[in-house]
Amino acid sequence: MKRNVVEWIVLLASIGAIAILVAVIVAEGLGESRPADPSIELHAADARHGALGWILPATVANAGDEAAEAVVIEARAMVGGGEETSELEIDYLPAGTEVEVSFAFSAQPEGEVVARLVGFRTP
Amino acid sequence: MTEGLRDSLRDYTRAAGGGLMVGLPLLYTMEVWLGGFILPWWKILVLLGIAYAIVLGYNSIAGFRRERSIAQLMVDSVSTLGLGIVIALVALLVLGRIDSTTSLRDAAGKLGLEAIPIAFGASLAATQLSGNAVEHRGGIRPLARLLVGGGGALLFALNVAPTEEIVVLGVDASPALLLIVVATSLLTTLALVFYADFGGRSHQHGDGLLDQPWSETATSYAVSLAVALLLLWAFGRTEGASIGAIAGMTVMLAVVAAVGAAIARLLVGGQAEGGEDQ
Repeated sequence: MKRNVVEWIVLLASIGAIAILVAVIVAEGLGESRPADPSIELHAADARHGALGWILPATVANAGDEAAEAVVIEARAMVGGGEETSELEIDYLPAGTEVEVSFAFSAQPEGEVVARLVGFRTP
Repeated sequence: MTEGLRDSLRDYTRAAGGGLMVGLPLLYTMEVWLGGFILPWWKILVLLGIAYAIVLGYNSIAGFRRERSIAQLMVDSVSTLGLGIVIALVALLVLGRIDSTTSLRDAAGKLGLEAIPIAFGASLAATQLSGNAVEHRGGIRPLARLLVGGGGALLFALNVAPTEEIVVLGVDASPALLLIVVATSLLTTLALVFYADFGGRSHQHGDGLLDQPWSETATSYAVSLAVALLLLWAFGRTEGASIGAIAGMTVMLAVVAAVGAAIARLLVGGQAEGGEDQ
């Protein structure tokens, strides 16, 4: 089997690429034990007034090993004497990734904002 | 630079070009990116394995180099698949689909899926787009033609298989409509291959059972249905779906597959015994 330098380089790079890809998929796949586990971190320090009210940025992360779909989250706070709820849906939340979102209220909330997970779909 | 080196560089550049031609639509398809992390890990490996077998099939009909042993063929096919992975990596980086926030599992899944059409295109570039294809103009045997048809079906159907549209079409269709679609698919491909007079193929057929227009059309359509079903399974569309929905999606996707198979069969010519349909 006679091959020149270019062919050797391409062949070795190919074997390397395939081996690494398969190894990563298998290793990540076999380590896939924890179900999806969305978490919400509110960034109160970055909250600001917007044209239509109070905007509160947050980071939603998935600490599990499996993806979650249609992740619905909500934040509750007391605004102007009444309780307000801000709800968001995130289409896809892959394992190990973070998504930046923003909750919004009609005005700056009094007291603490409480965020919770409403639910999600398992792919 | 020696002639051999220049030849090799040209072959790989051509392979990369063919890979992009076939792979670009899917590099721009959201369902494929999502499939990278939604599909179970073992399925991505199975798909890569099937892709390797198909690349081997393409390359064996006509490939990079002439006169090769089976071992050489297998090694060449490894290069084709590897090339697909490398091109997919560069493309996904350039498109911003893989960046520092992408998890390893997500990136590997996307790469595995996107590398498949690129590898098909790369091996096709070496067969259909090069001067080498000429030696097949004389026609190939019916079973090989069926295989080539399957390859064409795969290439065409791959572009629409991951989309939501197939689900909508398949689930909405009534059984009566599906029967009409089946009949239309058969008639269209029969007309395309045998009566449209593309590439000197019209009306010419041999004596074998699989060489008759109706038999070739029927077997090729069956292969197209199988390809459609395989693709639906690959993209997770069959999971949890009813038999009726699966049948609907398969028939709707097989329209595209059957046209792809017809065009591929036109490209490789018709005569079973070869050499006389110029």
